[in-house]
Amino acid sequence: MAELKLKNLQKTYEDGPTVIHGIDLDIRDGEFMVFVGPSGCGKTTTLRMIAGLEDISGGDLSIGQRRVNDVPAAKRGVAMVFQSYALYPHMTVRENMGFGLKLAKKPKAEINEAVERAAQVLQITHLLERKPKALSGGQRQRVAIGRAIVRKPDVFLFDEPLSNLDASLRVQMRIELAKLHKDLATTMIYVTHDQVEAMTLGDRIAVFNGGRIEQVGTPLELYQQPANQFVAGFLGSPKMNFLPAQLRSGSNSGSDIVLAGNTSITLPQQYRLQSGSPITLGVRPEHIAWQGQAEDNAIPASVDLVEHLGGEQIIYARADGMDTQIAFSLPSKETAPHRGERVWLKPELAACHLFDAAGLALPGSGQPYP
Amino acid sequence: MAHSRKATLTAYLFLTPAMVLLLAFAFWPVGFGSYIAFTQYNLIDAPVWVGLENFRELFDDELFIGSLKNSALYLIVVPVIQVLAILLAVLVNNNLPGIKFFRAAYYLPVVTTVSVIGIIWNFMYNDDGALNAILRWLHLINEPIGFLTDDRIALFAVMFVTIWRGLGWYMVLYLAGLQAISADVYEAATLDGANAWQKFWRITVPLLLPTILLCSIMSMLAAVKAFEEVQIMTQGGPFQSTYTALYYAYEFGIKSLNFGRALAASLVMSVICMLLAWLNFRYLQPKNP
Repeated sequence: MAELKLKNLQKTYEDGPTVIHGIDLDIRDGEFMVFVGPSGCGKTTTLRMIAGLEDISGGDLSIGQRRVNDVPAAKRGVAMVFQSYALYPHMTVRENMGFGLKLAKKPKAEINEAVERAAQVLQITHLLERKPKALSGGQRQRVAIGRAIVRKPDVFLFDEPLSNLDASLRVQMRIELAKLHKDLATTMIYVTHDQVEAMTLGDRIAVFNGGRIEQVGTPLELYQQPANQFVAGFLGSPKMNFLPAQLRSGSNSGSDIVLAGNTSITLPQQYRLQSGSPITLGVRPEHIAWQGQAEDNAIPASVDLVEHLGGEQIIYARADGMDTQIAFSLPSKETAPHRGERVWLKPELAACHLFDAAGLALPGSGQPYP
Repeated sequence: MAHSRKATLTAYLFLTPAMVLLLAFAFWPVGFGSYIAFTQYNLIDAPVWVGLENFRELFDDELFIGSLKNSALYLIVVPVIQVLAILLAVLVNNNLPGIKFFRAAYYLPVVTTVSVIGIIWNFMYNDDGALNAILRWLHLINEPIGFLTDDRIALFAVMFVTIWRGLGWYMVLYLAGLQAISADVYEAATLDGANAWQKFWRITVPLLLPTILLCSIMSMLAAVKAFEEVQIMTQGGPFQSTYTALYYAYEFGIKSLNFGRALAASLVMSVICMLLAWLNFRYLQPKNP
């Protein structure tokens, strides 16, 4: 068990670009930390630096109380589960799982015991004498996790481990990973670009973008109080609606904003911005209601498309005078407007987010987070 | 049913050109050659059936026994060329600066014509050639070594050229095999604590086994059938010390027009080649799960 400290961690490739621009992050002992972000944002590179598979160009990395920048990968007390599983194709499952201990010259009986115990936890005892090519994707994934468990690491590293599995198996493995973390109570760092995995697995999530961390927090904290437009747009499906607007005036009772198309909305909060400042209004699809007639604080729009997802419906509407499409969701049992129908969309004012011209969330906007 | 028959017919139609070529240039020569091995035939008169007479004469001929021994000795080339090719492939598999030049340089002998190789190595091996000059310069010898004129070392000198010539070819095959091994597997081994040697011995070599099998069979067959180097550099000499089995067949067939004896020798070599290929499959083929 160990906590990790990343202090101004940087990565620059030789004669190449800087891909990690100084990351500061504390990961607590026993925590399940998820690195999430779009492709090329630096989350995997950071994980590989922690693993010791990439050199660290600058800053400090500590595992436990030990600075490990120059410690070889095998001596950092980490085990990694790769996206491709990276099993040794010529070895049986038993040999794959025991390889690390064999290299460490542990007695055969000890290796066997450790392998059998991990196999029991992962329910793969019956597969121990098979080779990887005789296993399904899910079974290979378990073996890869088993290989990590056998080494009894201080920190588990997962590099998009579920991305090669089909949707149903992914859900099942996600649940099992969460259970495994609970059982082992070991620090785990998990890289994914799948926000559902991030939201469901992580104790905390670090959102990466362009080699920097945009925000770190619990899943709900990030969802309800995103620090900026990137985080707000990255988490949530369908993503948050962003509507260009201007702040008109502030009063004791709230703030008036004018959307493109001249729709006015009065928000209950006050914001310290000059009147006329360009802002972006962010509203999540589940915080928009619709009605068939005009009303204050409602945006006129025409329905473009209705998607039926079974449990809910997603409706896409084009707001008057705006290029952007607004998405909102309804439970499937509720009546949805038809395609082409004229509707007025009413955002839940207390749950609206405001972002300044630089994309930063204005203090006081967003849903209150306990 | 009709559809299935049509599909079968179409398949055979597509196979026909390849089958015709195989029949004309592989199966027919093998069959005819095997028949000739049991006859007396000189290209002019009709073949006369002599049964096993050619084989009896063959195994009574000390030159043939000597050439078989030389061919067996030539198999030394196989492990040497395989080990060197694997090491070279591992070396050029790194992304070092200028590595493409080295890859091309090692491959160059493969695409060089035999006559050029003969000129180069005759120059290298001459009494006043480059090798002797270097050895003299290093004060390792006083008198020149007769690489191609001393019957104790001539065969080894010829074998060295075979290794030099074939190394690039096997290096490329091993390079392809190496590049098919996922980098993730090596990274997993790094995390498991494997050092460079352990990665090579426990990961690279086992995963290269299919390529090793292929290359071993190819180089064994090439060694048993060694001919070109002998033909261009020693013509079987000195004192027939570099006679290989195929050179023996060539001498009796093309030069003496004793095709019965030549093809009997070839048939014996074919059996040896098949036996060696079987041994390779038996001991080098990776086991199934």
